[in-house]
Amino acid sequence: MSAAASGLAGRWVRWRVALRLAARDARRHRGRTGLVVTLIAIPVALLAGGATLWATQDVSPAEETVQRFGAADFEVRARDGDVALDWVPGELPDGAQATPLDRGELLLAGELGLVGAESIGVDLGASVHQGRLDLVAGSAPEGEDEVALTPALAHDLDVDLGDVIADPDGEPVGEVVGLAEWPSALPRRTVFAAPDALPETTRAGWVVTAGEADHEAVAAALDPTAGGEAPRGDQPGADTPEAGAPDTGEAAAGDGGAAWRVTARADVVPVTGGGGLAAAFTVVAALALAEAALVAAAAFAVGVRRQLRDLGLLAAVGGRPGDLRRVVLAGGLAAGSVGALLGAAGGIAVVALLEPWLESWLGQRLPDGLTVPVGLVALAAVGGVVAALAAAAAPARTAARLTITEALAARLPPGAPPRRTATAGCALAVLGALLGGGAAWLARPAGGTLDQDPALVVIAVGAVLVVQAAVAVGLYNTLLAPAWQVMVRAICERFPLRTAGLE
Amino acid sequence: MSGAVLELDAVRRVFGTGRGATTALDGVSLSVAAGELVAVMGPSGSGKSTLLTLAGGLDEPTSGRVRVGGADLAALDAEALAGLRCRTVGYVFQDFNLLPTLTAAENVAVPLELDGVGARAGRRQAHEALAGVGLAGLADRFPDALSGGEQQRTAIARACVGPRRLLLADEPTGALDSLAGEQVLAVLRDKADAGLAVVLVTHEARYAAWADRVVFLRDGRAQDQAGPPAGPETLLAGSDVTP
Repeated sequence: MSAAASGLAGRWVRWRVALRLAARDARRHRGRTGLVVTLIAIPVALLAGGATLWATQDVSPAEETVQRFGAADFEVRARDGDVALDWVPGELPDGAQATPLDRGELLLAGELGLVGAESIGVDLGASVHQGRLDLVAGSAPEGEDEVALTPALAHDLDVDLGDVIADPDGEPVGEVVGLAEWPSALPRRTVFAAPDALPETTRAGWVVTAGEADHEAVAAALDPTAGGEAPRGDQPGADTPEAGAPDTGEAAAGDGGAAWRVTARADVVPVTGGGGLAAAFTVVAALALAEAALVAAAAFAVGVRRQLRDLGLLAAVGGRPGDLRRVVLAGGLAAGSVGALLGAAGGIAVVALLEPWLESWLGQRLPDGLTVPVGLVALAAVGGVVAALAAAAAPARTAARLTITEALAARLPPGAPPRRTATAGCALAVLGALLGGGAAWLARPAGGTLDQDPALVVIAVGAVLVVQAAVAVGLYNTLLAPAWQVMVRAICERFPLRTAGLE
Repeated sequence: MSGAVLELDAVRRVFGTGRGATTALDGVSLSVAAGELVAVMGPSGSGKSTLLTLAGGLDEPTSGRVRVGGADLAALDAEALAGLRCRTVGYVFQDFNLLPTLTAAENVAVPLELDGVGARAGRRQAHEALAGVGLAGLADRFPDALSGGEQQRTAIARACVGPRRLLLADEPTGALDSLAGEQVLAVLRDKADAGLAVVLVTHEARYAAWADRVVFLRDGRAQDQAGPPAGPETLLAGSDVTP
């Protein structure tokens, strides 16, 4: 071998030849190439699109906290409507500020009938509510005859700014001067009015900002377990959370039978979850990728069969077995890369197209907009390329085993399936079974929550390996290979001269 | 022969086994020196192409020895044989000669690139080789845009590019008209005159007349016809030899 042929440079030159041949062949056989590209692109699109959708709808913990608290540091809520929390502002240390939350329920007359809504007495203009309650049109209601509605309620009532809403008796409730929404719950139907403006509301709680006051002092002042002070802790209370309160799983104060509860912004643990769904989705997409690889392998096998003369010619002019293998693998690399890129781009594009509707479907503002998890999308794309390479691997091995004379005569060698394939397949099957069984054992004591997630991932891996091994080993070694051998032997015995030479 | 580029020593090639066995070559010995153009003739099935595949290391003899440039092909592994085909031996087939997805220049550069020669150097040598066969202006054409004769000359350029010593041509004129065939033979003659050892398989005496020597094969056995181009006329009565 010449000096130029050795080393990385020589290897790269030979890869370049293989890639050029593969790319030209792919263009020449567009149908077959299109099939492989599509087979790879679809599962990659599923994975990339799913990951993008997941990242887009996933509100960050910080944003989730803002949607819950706005700018407040504490939320004080009565456990029962009869509980008066008027003492809260007076108990706060200097510098802290409390903003009341009045709450009630209303029945309104709409175009299509009666519509139930909650009524909230709140100063929508207060900065403490920003992020939690956002004024999206008009102005904040100030007078007793002014209200703001959530867009969902305005839609149901078929009213707009300037219209007057009325109760079922036709008594006007107020003129709609603004539209405000709950970013974390867009479908909520709410009438907002200034505090104490709606007679049907009661003081349901307060949102408190510590401001310049000591945070700990504010927490202590609101602590429902402190007891001893006349207005606090001695109220009759029901141990039921307030209806409509977001279930954030926060560690509410250990207040036992206290009449109110305090949630500190710093104590809220954002809700995470959906790991099981993600794992299931990953399993489906991975299986789709595996099946795509199997079907694509057939397409590559056909490609090798049709390329036999070219491969033989390449060998005749100096191609090594590795070069022939490279040509087929390069086909997998090229088609896989194109398929992976198209799939990743397509998956992201679909989510981008759906993005305007996502917020209404999810009922939640997505402050970060379209979020592309670059790492996961890249992983999906790499998975697509790997699947295509795996699909090309067996045909590539066949190409590397071609004898030149057989290839030039466009005949495949009647090779037996290599023992290593069967061994590797069986090992994979055993490994998959062990992983699946182990995961099931791990999942057994879990209580149906997040504990299941790692196990589900392991189950996923195990399932993929088992299916791959079962299909690859079972189908190939038990059905296809023996049938192929019988057929080829019959032909070879009939035409001994033609099998071996060019005569 | 001392200094021979190609030496076949009692080469035998049998296809198949048992009752279905067919002897394609039966103890053929042949030596081709640098600068010599040897034509191998014979009827269909006489073993001409088999001889060439053995000489090029595309196939292995059942018995006997094949040496190229002094190297015993039986002693070379697949990697070394591939290297031999990259650098020492060039092969021209009757058809299926060019990779259809590559341009003429790219086809010619393939052996160089497979040998690790860089793209620029490979392209330069390919253009020189194409110019050497009179195809300088067709380097960027794909095979389907070339005539049969141009394709064969491109194949000859590919078979000669780099430090080649042996050119094996298996009926390179078989699919060509007379004029194109003559052009191809003229190129082969030029290559032999330039120092390559050339073995030409043909069944047409008029092309064999371009050779320095004619080897006639019948039933796998060789009859060495050393001598002037008149030889083929004695072998194939009625053939039209036009050297």
